[in-house]
Amino acid sequence: MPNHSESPFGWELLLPDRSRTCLLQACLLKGDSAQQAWNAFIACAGDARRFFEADYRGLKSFLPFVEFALAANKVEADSAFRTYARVALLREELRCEIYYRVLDEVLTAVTSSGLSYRLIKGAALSPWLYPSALIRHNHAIDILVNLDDIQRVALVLQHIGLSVGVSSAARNELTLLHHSELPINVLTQLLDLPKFGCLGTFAGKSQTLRLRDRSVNTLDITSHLLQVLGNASCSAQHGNLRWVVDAFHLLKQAAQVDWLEFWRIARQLGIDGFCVVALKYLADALQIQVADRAVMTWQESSGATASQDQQRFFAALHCSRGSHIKVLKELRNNPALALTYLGFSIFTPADYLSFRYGVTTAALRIAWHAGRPARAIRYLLQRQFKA
Amino acid sequence: MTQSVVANTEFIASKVLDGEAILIDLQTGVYYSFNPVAGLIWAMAAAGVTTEAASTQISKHFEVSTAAVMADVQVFLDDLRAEGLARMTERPVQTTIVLPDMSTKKTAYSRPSFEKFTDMMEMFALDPPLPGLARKPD
Repeated sequence: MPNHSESPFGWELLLPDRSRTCLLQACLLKGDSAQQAWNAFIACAGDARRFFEADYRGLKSFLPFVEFALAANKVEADSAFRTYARVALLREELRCEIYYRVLDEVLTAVTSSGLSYRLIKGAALSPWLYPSALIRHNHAIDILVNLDDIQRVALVLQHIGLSVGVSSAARNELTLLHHSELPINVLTQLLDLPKFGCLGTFAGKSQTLRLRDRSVNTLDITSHLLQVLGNASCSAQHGNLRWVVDAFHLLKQAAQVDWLEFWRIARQLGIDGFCVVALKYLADALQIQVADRAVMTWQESSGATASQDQQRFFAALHCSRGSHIKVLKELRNNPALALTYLGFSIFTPADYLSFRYGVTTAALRIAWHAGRPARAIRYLLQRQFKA
Repeated sequence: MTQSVVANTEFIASKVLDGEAILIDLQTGVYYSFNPVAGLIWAMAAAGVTTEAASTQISKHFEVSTAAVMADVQVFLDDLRAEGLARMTERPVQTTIVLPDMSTKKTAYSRPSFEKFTDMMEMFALDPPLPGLARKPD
């Protein structure tokens, strides 16, 4: 695998740090390796329970998987932490009873309507790839539908009692709420990027899986892998580590991945830089075999410009850290890069705005820049509200 | 008819994991960790149990005298009732109690006890749906 760290900016910043890597190894490796990794995790993190409690990037939702994996690997861990993790597992199991009941209602309604859909993200991955569907926390149910069908799907779901929550016309997506408050996201794009992932793209790349005693339409492995790594590189859900475990399980079936197609789309999206580093990480840290074919097809594919690559890196860094200030703090040991990032965040390039937000005209660019203070105020208010 | 103690399983979810019984009160969101002896008593209380029957089973399981555990069991069943986890019932006493397999490792007898935790909001990612709770606790 090529070493991407030779680039002037380090995609590695988006990978799990040492303590999180040890935690992942304790869960995903076997035998003595798992116990050694747990010991190393404790040496890095100190008190495991405090480590999880102090996290603000969604790591708590990883606890059910951690408890399941530690038990399966017979890892000796502090009893207070195990109690904490066991409660999380029991709670998640109870939550899953409701989650999968709602999922069943949603899929029955959408299937009966005859509208095309693909079940994506955790709702498809957890019963398919995980040893138990109950151990992967899924925040919501996500289904991908045709842009033309979004209102029809919404009506179908409202008919079974769901209420319309949040809609985003800019992103062409809709969130409905079950009375249990479980969100159901009806999406028209696989990734939160304007140029990729409408349902039509997957006409020949889908599969029907038998999940929990019913047939479910979902994507092929290549598309799922693109979604998992793409989402990790351009969304705030980066810190919860579920993407690593999803990718780990998907890559166990790497023989079914169409690597030529994978890199072609990853290049087109500008996420190939992150994908290279992430695959290398999965191979090195978690001992996943990534086929030589994956490397060769990456090397053969044509690349984005260095400037675009840097833009994607900055954007991913911003998404994963949540604010420009946090990114600048992280880059404090590299003043030149921090300065470049500052320039990028203030004078965001037009081609980046087009790539990331679909802002393609001068008028829209002016509107986008003019709206920044309002967005900043909204962000601060949301933070205040959360606090 | 003898009075026995029965667990309030309608709103208490529980599971034994590696010898430790975990309970969640679905009405309040409070959770509990039971030591192995307490976990066994809880399992017996699911179908209703008297202090005498529970003490007999515990003494057999841990190979200690019934007299030595009777007082502990009585206090523990009282604690369960005080906590709202169990109640008195007029159900007939069970004549045969099959103890659940709590753990592959047999532990020495210790007084049945539990820890109570009330800080769930700070500890977990409480995304909806919350089982048994209509909404997040304030």
